[in-house]
Amino acid sequence: MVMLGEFEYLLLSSAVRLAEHAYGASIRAEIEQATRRRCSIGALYTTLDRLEKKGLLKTWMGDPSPQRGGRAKRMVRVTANGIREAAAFYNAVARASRGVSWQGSRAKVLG
Amino acid sequence: MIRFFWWLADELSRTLDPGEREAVWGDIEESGDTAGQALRNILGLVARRQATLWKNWQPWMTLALLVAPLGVMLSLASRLVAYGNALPLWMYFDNWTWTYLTNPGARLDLLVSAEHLFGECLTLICWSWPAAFYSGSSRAVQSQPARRCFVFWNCSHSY
Repeated sequence: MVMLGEFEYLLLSSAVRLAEHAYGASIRAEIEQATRRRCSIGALYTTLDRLEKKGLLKTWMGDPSPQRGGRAKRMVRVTANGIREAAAFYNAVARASRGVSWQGSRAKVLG
Repeated sequence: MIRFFWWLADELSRTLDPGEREAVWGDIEESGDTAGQALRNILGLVARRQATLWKNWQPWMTLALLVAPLGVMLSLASRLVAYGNALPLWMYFDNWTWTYLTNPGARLDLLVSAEHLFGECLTLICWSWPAAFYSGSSRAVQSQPARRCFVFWNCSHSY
């Protein structure tokens, strides 16, 4: 098992949240909203390819829509493997953060 | 400037796969990106795609074994042809007189010079076309980066 990167995790969790509405632009908007940072299309599409090669998600060309100037979407669906890897990443972060508080300007060890 | 940015982004996006190009332009339109943002996004994607291609060993092997030797030889030959024909061409164009055609001796010289120039240009064409065709079609060297190097190399050296 290879540990996911943080951007890979962000992409997978956004795609899961968006469910059947997960495609390039919507995932990008979701990541930007969650991180409050710009998400480049280059990073998004190369990460999509990488995750698809690892078998963590599937992509296919969807139907064109008028708000996209009649252009097709690259639809995304997270596979069972992808869900397993994202859960493993989340659990690792949760375990590593146990007993640590990030509130305020200094980190504190709780308990 | 804005129109130039859109045009440049469109030209750059032509290096992407048609499906990906369509999806990317759709995303840009849907997100309402400005021309500058669109150009930055396309440039970033194209740069990442090109960098990924060079991670394989095939483009490097093609560059070393095919593109560089053929490119060097072809550019040297082009320069030799240009140097060899520059003086006679300048002489004829700068000092043109119809005597070159009426005088039998001068006419023979002119014909020999024209024959040399035509033959050398034809040789260069016959050489460069199969070289480019081979590098573009051979299964052993199916490498887009190496093909681009070949074209760039020859374009830059022919000047």
